Formats: sequence, C-alpha cells, structure tokens
Amino acid sequence: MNMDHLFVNEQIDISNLPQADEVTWVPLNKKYLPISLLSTALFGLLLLSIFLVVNFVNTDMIEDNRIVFSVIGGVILLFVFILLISALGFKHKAYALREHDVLYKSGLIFRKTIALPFNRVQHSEINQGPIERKFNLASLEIFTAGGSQSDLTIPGLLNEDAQSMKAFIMEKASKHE
Amino acid sequence: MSKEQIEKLFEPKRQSPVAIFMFLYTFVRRFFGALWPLIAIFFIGNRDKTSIVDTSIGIMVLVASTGTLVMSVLSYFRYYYFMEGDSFNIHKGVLNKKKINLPFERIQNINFEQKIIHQIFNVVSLEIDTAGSAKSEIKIEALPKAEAEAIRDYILEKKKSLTPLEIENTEGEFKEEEKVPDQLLLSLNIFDLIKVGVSQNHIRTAFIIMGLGFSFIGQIEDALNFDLIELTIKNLKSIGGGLILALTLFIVFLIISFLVTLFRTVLKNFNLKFYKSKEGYKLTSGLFTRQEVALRKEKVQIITWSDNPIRRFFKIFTLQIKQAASGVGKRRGQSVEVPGCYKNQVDEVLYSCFDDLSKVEFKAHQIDYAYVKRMFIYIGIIPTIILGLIYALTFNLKWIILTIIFPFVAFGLLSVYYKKYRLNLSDQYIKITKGIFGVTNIVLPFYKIQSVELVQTIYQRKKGIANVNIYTAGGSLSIPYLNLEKAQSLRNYILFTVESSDKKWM
Repeated sequence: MNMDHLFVNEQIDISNLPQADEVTWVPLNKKYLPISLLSTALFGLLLLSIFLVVNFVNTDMIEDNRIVFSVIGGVILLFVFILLISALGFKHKAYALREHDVLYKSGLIFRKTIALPFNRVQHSEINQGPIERKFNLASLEIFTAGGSQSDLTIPGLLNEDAQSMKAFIMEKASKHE
Repeated sequence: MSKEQIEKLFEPKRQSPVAIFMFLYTFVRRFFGALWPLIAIFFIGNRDKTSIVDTSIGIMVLVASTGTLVMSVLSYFRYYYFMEGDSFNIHKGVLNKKKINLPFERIQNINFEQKIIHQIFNVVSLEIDTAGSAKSEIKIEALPKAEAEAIRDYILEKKKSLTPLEIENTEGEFKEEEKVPDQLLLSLNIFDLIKVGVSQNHIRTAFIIMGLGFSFIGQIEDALNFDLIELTIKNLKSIGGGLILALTLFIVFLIISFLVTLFRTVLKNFNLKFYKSKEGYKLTSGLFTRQEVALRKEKVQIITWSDNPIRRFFKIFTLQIKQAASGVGKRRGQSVEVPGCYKNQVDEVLYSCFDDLSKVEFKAHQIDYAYVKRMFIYIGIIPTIILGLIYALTFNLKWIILTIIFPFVAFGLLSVYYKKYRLNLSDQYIKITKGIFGVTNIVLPFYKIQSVELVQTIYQRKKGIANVNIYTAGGSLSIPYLNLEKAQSLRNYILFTVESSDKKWM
C-alpha cells in the first residue's frame, strides 16, 4: 500500500508540518559576489563603448555634446545603482535543499522565498558564463510547468555542487514520473 | 471510422492549397514586423533627395516580397503530414528541413480554428498541443474539416488505448465503439448574446476608446492643422460650462464603448456552443473566426467565475477554465471563457473537474487591514496630491471638488475590497472570493500547484505581513497582505499536500 494514502483522511496539525522557515540556509559561494559585480560592470562598459563608437563614427547622429555626456553619465549612474543593489542583496540570497523540495530566497527590498517541490520539477539546467567558468562557478536553473515566474535559478554555486544538486533533484523528480 | 479512412491517415499528404495564403500571411507579417521602421522611413522619409539608403531599402523591400511569395509556395510543397505507428509526423522546411515526430502519448489536445478564409474554402487549421517543455509548436495551417476531425478522433482514441491501464486493444482492429454524443450544456442565442454584451465592463472599454479617440483626433488635427478639441470645448462652454462638457464627453464615450463591446461580444461568441464530452468539455464559437477548443478535465488547473451588478440582474456568470499550457506565453486553448453561464452550469463544470468539491467545507480567512492603509497611499493620497497641485496651478473650482471627493471614493473602494476579500481554505482546495461591485471566485486544488512564493516589502516585514504567490500550469494567483504566520502555514501546508500527493496534476 502506498504510504501517501495514509495522509488522506488524517487530522493534520498545521503546527506539526515541516516548517519551511526553520531550515538552515546555505549562502551562495563568496566568489560569486565579485564575479557578478565584475560581469555587470563589464556589460555596462560594453554598452558605453558601443554607444561611444557609434557616436564617433556617425558624428552627426547627436549634435549636442551635452546630450552625449548626459547619456554617459546616466548609464554610469544606472550601473552604479545596479552594482550597489546586487552588492547589498548578496547576503540575502541563500538556498536550502530539503527532502522533498528546494527553497531559494533573495531580494533586498522585496524579500522573496520560493519553494519548489521535487515532484513538480520538469527539468533543470546548469549555466556557466565565460567568467563564471574561469572561477569554476555555475548557476542551477530548475523548471516547472508553472511558467517562467515560478522557475528557480540558484546562482553562485561551485560547479561540482551544481552538478550534484542537479543529479539529486532530477533523481527525486524522476521518482514521481 | 472505416478502415480505408484510417489507412488514408497514414499516407503522407500535403495541406489544402489554401495553406499557401496562410504561409504568405505569416511571412508578410513576420517581414513587416521586423522591418516596419525601415519601410516607414522609406515611405515617409524626406523625398527631396533620393539617397542611396532609399534606393537600397526599395530594392530590399522588392527582393523580400518576391522572396516571401516564392517561400510561401515552396513551403507548401515541402510540407507533409502523416501518421506512422503511434506517432504523428510532419516533414517540412525549404532550406532547413525539419522532421517532427510526435508520439501520441505526448499529445495533450487538438484544437481547430477557422478564420474567414478557412470558412470560405471549408477548411480548418489544426493545432496540436503537447505536454511539458516541448519546444516545437505544431500547427497545420489548412486541411479539410472532415480530415481534421478524423485525425483528432483517431489520435485521441489511440492515445487512450496507449495508457497502461488498458493494455488490450492496442493493435489490430480499431474498435468501432459507439461514440458517446457530446451533451450540449449551453448555447447562446442572439438574445443571450445581447445580455452578455450589455453586462461587459463598459467603463474599461470607454477608457481605452477615449485614449484611442484622443490620439486619433490629435492626428486629424495635425493633418488639418487646427484645434478640434479647443473648438468643441469653446462651443460647448457657451452652452453650459466645464462639468457638463466632461459629462457629455463621458456619456458619448460610454455609448460608443457600449456599442463596440456589444458588437465585439456578439462577433466573438456568435453561435457559442458549450458541450460536455467524454474527455471533458468542448467550446465552439465565433462568427468570422470560428474556433473550437477542447478541454480535458485532468488538464484543468484553475476555474474562475465572476459576476457584476448587471450580470447579477440577469443571473449569469462568466466562467473561465484555465488549462495547463505548454510552451511560453499565452496560447490559444489555454484559457477558455464561457460567458452567459447560469449557476447550475458553473456548478456542473466545477464538480466534474474537481469531483469532491461539492462536499468540501471551507474556512474563511481575511487579509490584513494594512492592505487598506498601504494601498490608500498609492491610489488615494498620491492622486489626491496631484489633483491638489492641478488646482493650485489652475485655480479651477472643478479640481478642488475632485481633490476633496477623490480620497473618500478611493478609501471607500479599498474598504469594500478588503471587507469582501475572503481566502477560503479546505483540506484540498483553495478558493478566493473578491470584488468590489461584483464577485469573482477562483478555485484550485492544492495538488495542482507547481510552486509557492512568499514576498515581503520593507513595510510588510515591519508589520509581519506577506504576499503569497501561487503558480500553477494554468496561471498564477496572488494573495495580498496575509498575516505572516498564516502565509507561512499556508505555504507549509501547500508543500506538504503537493509532496505527499501522487495525483497527477495533468
């Protein structure tokens, strides 16, 4: 007989349920912070240089130099802001693997905690950017059928950890097929 | 279905030549979608000097249009569909050849659609809905209706015999079992359609039309170089002042929007028929674009039904059934809307999709009052400040009246929303009832949930409140401003139910 059927008519005491709030959160790898800041900064520089090159080649695109400077200033400010937010938000990002689900929390202003049961996992992916590869980091992306908002991405994992987490999750998920 | 008919399904076949039009249409749309800025520059651009840019764009447009035509015809000749074993196959592609093989068990649903052009030639387009994260979307643009029906019936029948429960009858003769006729649950005649049309949200449409109307007037003014609005206002002012003007404008737009919605509703739901079939439900509707959507009970994730004061007067509801969808974004067939349902039809659908719902007892919970306080800042205080500023700038009495009235209205609406919001929970279901003037009901069983999320803003953290977002394969829902303890135990209970249930969510 399937164990699960025992639950059906049982009186359930909510306070005895597994508490998702009392797990031990695992922080992201420390290397991830400088790397993510670096890649954001590089992306900002890339945008700026494209703008400057286009502006240099096509001199009559924007005639007023003040506009050029304010665009540059604006982009720099925006990226400084993004960098600041991700630096401050880093310590709020953490994950937890439990027996039946995976949890991930993030957010500086909007604190989010998403919980994803293994028996709803469709598939998962490991992503590595060029810079991440250099530092042996990876991010694990877990997909459900609930649309892109309900998918879960855990960045800043050591590549080995990401691989073994993926294997663990997929093994759990396949049991429910 | 006779044996001959079935054998025919296994022969590779081209679509109806009507498909060429459809390919052409798709190509042209894609082409204009990608290049419209260039084309616009070409036509609107400065005509005094013909630059090299102009000429090259002209050539590009010419080449591309010829190319599109050729591609459309070639795509048609290169497109074959057929069955093979227990799978549906499509071979297509002019430059990149593509072979799609779709095993029957991965097919979730088969839907038809008839645009005007299809109706003229008595063909339909057929779309195959697949499960999970399949990326290839399968759509046959045009094929004879009888054939489409044969394909659907065959696949769905075969698919059923492929499920492990019924091992007998896998191969060999296709059992000529008596088809259970679809039972008609609801059909809307023209009188019902008018009822449905009348009870739509006209104020919302009025705002959309107002926006469109003003931008349209703006364009005419630019073209004719004179100020239409100013002229009208002047004339009307001499008749009776600003407030009457505003009222007149509002009523005019309301009448227009009333007619537009009525017209749209009638077109969209013309000859609507809602059937109960063996697998679930079936809906056909539409005057120009005739659509047929099939719903399978086990794929249904969320059911919503709502009324408003006018609908309540007619005792009708708009029923919305949200199915699990594959692929990205909103696709046809995901959500089915059946307007003009009576309560017994709503119940029929509810209790047959979620079979134990009729016996369920719910316990009602309210959201936190902080919702009213917080939202009042956004939709009460901030607009009031803006209105006050306008008054300070114009010294027009109209604005001071609005400034005084507005916060009371906003507060009133928010309070009603708060008072009527109920989160109803049972051991297996979650049901939300909400609404200001009408009532919207949303029901889903816990085990269909894919993931849960708790979100807290800084303010909510201080007050011990959280929003709960629930994601399903048929859409998501959000419960605002729930007491943190309640939110956490709701989340824990959902996780527990999902993880301990082996019921299939689809």
